[in-house]
Amino acid sequence: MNSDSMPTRSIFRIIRETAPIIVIFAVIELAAGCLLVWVLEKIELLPGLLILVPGFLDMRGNISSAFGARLTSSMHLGFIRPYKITRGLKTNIYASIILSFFMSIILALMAWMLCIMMNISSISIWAFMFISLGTGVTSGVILIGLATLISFVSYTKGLDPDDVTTPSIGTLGDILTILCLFVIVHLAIGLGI
Amino acid sequence: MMNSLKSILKESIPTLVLAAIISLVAGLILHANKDFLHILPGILIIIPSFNQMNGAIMSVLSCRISSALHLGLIHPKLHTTKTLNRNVSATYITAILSFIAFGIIAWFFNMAVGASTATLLAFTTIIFLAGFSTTVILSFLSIIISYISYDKDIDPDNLVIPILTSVGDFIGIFLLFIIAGVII
Repeated sequence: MNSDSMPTRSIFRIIRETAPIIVIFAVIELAAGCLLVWVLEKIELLPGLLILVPGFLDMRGNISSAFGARLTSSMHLGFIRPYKITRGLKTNIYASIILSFFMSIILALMAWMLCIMMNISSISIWAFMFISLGTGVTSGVILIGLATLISFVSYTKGLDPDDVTTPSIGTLGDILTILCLFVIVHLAIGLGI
Repeated sequence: MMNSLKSILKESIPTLVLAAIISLVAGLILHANKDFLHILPGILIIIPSFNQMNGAIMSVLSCRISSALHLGLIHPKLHTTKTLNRNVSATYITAILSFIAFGIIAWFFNMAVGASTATLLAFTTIIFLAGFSTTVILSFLSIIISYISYDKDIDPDNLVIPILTSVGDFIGIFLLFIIAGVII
């Protein structure tokens, strides 16, 4: 199979690969929306945490989508090959884990400061940090694994990973993040943080 | 482009912080105008999916543009190339098909969960018009940001998707309400 041909494929082929995936994952996202409404009831037990959620979901999607975008570009360029642990892949993985860690801290700080600025009663900065880091790093590691797997499988099946990886990782990221958030919030309540 | 750990972090951190600030500000503005949500019952349920679709369509275009830039198939100095035209046309047709399909599915979903809403035709038209106009605006932004970052030797893979999803969420919801307001 010739990888160089993928980015120059015909309009029809791009649409055929992309449109069904986009619709399927939008429908799955409807389920994620219902899941979020359900989890939000738990989250409301911890004041101020709600402010963190939209920015957090965006951040999670951004880091994993950028990871996927770099991964697929590197695959087209031949720096990363399916199922091979190369230096390019490792660098990309380390960068995304460091970014997840760093951005979780920044977002926790931003949410906490916003609560103080707007006079909203909130949990402590340490509780924000615990929940943000716990959720961000756990969901980040799982998502990076999933994005890598999806890219490799689609590439070996002759699908352009550009068309498959980022649309699917957005929805999977939201679902995983909501589930991780649910577990970590329970843990935080259980530990009395 | 072979990324080093340092270059990925150096380009990503400011981008992600900027994207987080845009999301936060957009969230606050939307929160302040939340009475707007009552224009179209049933629309709240579909907002996450609608945002996710805009993000997905734009991510595919941005990924394809950056792959093509890295491979030298398109270049910032050559404004119309076949590969770029093909990608943009494919994106528009994908957006048209996907938003119509999603509008119909979301309408039935609303019926199933008992959220009263507009007629099937009005609901699908709103989703389609809002979604497609968001796609058109974002596609221009995607090309411009990709070209500028490539020109400045910044990997578009690090920059374009985070900025576009944050801006896209805001533009998408804004247009959704404007168009819903006009049609209903």
